[in-house]
Amino acid sequence: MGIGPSTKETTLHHMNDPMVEIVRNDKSLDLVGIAVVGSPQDNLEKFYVAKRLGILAEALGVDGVLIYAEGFGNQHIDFAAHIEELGKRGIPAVGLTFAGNGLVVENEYMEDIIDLDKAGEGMETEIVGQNCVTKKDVIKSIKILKKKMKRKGR
Amino acid sequence: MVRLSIARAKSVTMEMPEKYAQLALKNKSGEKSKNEVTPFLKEKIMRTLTWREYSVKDVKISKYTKIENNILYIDEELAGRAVNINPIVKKVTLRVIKPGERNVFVNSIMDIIPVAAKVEGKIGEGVTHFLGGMVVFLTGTDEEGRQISEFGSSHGILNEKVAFGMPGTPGNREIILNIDVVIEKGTGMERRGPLAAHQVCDWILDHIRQELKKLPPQEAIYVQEFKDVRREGRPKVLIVKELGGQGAMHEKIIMPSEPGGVRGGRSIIDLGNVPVILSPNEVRDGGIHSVT
Repeated sequence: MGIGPSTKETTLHHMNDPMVEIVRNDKSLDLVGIAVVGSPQDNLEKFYVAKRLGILAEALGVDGVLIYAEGFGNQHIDFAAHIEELGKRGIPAVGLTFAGNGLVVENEYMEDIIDLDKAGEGMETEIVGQNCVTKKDVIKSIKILKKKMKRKGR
Repeated sequence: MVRLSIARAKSVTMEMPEKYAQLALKNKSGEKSKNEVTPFLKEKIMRTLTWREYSVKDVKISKYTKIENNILYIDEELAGRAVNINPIVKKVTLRVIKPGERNVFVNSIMDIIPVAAKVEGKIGEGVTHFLGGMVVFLTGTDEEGRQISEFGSSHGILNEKVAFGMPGTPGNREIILNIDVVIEKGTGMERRGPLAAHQVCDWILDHIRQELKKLPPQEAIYVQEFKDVRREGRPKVLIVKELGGQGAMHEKIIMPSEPGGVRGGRSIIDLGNVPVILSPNEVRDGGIHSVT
């Protein structure tokens, strides 16, 4: 596996994804869909896709976003850019990622980030599936998102 | 009427006749009540996916591929023929790891894939057959014995290298079909190397899927319906999954022909990494394959 075994989502994970299962079954929310966005190598490309995501969320007229980023390191550059594009448009977002020893970049809109580090070591443990999204993480993030949306009047 | 003032308290219960309670609530909310009325919940069903789950109690490497009496037989020759699918793949080995035998060495784990097949319709709707009781582990090295991994490798004793029971890993009772591949030297860090391994693995799984499709509906141990619903009037939420799109173990195959498969799908890299919307059913039905 690439960067890194404990933070990568397997094909099995995508099919069982607690993020999708919990949100779709929450009768107080209207799940519009799941946007899959790639994380390119080049920084310019990262900002290109982040802008597209911002415009997409704006066009869909969503009230809130749950955003997950796989891996760590340079993938957090796009992660931060995505949240900024959403924040600029007044769309509240809650992020879930393996922050480990802190994110490489941050911005003013990244107030609610849930760290998926389960081992508490702040580093890649090389154990497959260990630092992935669990039900507990999702329930926590939905709670925060609902609060944020309420503050915005939704 | 009633006056109650509390400065600091925990778990206070108040009981009163219903008519007073109604009165009290009415007075308090006043103008607010108009906003607080929950809108009538209108659910619109967009599409339905029927999920039939079958189970195997044993997996055996055999002379033919077949599912019979809850036992999956896999043709041993598939391993030899699989190398013809992509010239980058030099060798394929099949191995069955039983639940109590996880104290064995495995090469770097490239993916964990469930076996499921479309019987009716495309990914996200229609009917899917899912084979429970087992899961596939794709592992690999290159010809020089270098593990197919980048930052941190998951090769080692299986028991120590996998957090079992997580959403992306099997539980303690699943049988593991280990498909181990050897790819051309030096291609592990190129996009084509890992991709070839996944293609070959998918080709082998296609043979199992063909058999899974034949199982009659009444033999399913569990049937579930998944519905894509929109709830008018509720806050609209979008889930975003930012996934690797840099190539060589940072790649996803979007919307393949078979659940969790490779064939028929488009790589997120070829899609330009721009956001693509999937429905909840499409994600559940294996619309994303990890080339991790």
